[in-house]
Amino acid sequence: MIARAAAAVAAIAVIGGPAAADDLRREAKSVRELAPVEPARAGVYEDDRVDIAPAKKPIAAVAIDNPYGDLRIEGHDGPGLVILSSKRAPNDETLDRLRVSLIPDPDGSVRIVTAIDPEGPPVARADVHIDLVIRAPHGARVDGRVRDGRLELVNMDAGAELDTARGTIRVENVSGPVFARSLAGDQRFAEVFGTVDAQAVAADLTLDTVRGDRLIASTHDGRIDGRRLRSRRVELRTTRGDITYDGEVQAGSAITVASVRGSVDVRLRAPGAIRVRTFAPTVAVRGGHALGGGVFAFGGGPRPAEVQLRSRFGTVSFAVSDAP
Amino acid sequence: MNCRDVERRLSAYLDGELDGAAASALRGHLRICADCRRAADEQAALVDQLARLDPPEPPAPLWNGILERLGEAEVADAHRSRWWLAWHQLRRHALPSLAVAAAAVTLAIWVWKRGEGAEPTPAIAIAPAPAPTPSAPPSEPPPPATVPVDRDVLAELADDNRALDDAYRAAADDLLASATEERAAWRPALARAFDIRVAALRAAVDQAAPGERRERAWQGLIAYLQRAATGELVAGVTP
Repeated sequence: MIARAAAAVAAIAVIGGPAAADDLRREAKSVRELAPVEPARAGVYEDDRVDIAPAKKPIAAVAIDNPYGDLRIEGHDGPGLVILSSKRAPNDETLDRLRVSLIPDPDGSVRIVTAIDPEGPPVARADVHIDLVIRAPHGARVDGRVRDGRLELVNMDAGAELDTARGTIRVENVSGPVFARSLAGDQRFAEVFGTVDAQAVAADLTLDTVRGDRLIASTHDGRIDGRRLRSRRVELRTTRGDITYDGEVQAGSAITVASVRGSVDVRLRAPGAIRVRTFAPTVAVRGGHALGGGVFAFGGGPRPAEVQLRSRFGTVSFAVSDAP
Repeated sequence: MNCRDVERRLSAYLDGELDGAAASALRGHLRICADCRRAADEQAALVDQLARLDPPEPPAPLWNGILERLGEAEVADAHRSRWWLAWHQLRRHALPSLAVAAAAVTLAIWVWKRGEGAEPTPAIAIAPAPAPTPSAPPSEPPPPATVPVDRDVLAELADDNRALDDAYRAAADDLLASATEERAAWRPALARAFDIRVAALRAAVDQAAPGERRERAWQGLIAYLQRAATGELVAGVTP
């Protein structure tokens, strides 16, 4: 057991410990300025900036786990990493126990983990806070995880895997596959180009300008609002909340929008044919040709886009939009 | 070495019971497999909380050099065959890993220098992945510190894991009730297939370690139940 514990402890590299804090540069541009979070609270603060240059290979992947606050990952043009940390604690002794650890791998990936040194008097979770802003090369793949803090990803090109418990997720101007999971944190995606797979339990999902091969989004107790969407395969599901979908559809696309108790409202722009199948107690379809059995046909041409709309207890609405 | 091999040997590895070649191969696999690395992190973190040892903080340049040499050797080991591993295990006493030996020598020098108070604590210390190997004990870790009575923030996080688990369970139960209503109208074969799949997904939840893996398992179950509850499973989709 001693060997195991020693190995675990040795695995952690520390940025900013008691002795290191004074050596690190204080940057005028603090994390709080970059990502204002909340009004100042009582206690002591420390802002640090650390620049990490890649040893040999460029940084290909960054994994960050910060259960103590917010996390924002921004793409930048440089080859290295910039880590901006902002720590808050009730007193200096506790502040010194807050750690940001860096574990580089020779394969070009880097892991960043926040932790609190367990040696010391008890401290409540609400009294300690670590916010991180990570500036990483655009092409690095990101794996980000927070607990209750906000998780933001902007200007990245290689996709990401994002997890929160109750924190919100915001993804903006990102390409590549994005997987997002939250229990009770709302998720917002804007200008995302690539496959999106988003799942929440008690949260709302907002999708604005998402294009890619697949778009899969689901929430149990919350709504989904999507606009300017265009993906070849789309699956949107809720249990209780409503779903609105406004987007384009291509020939051969498959779109499923389904809710158990919520209503479904879909508006599509399509250059070709669409076949719509509806399953709901109340169906409102504007235009098209009713083929019977809740099936409607719009437009003409080969390989019609298949649209399936479902609601067990709500209303299903569909219209073809002419608006650009 | 593959994921199953890592799963079987991870505990022994963290206990420092693997020989140099096997440990190197395992570390090499961890460097290239995110899932296994995550599992190793979780186990190591748990032990970390229990042990509460002060981390050694060697100079960054020292560790950088070690990291590079070890990393390259480990990734190479991860790609070797099982026969190579078996052969190496037989010869472990005769041919200790060159990389580990180099690490031992370098560490020994550092420990010796540190004893003379030569090096101040660096601003940034970079440490390697866990590398407990019987063939290269560079320095004995200090004895465990006294375990604090109150785990406060760490205990709160552990409690929070249970709260998250409860929230996922409540959502799954809610969806299962809705799906069961749908199921009543299904063909018997489809209903049976559904039951089997739900049981398998629930078992996956029960078997998953608390934390990220269990959350993933819950998410898989919830996604499946949601498709059943919306009625999609009877639309030609086999459970």
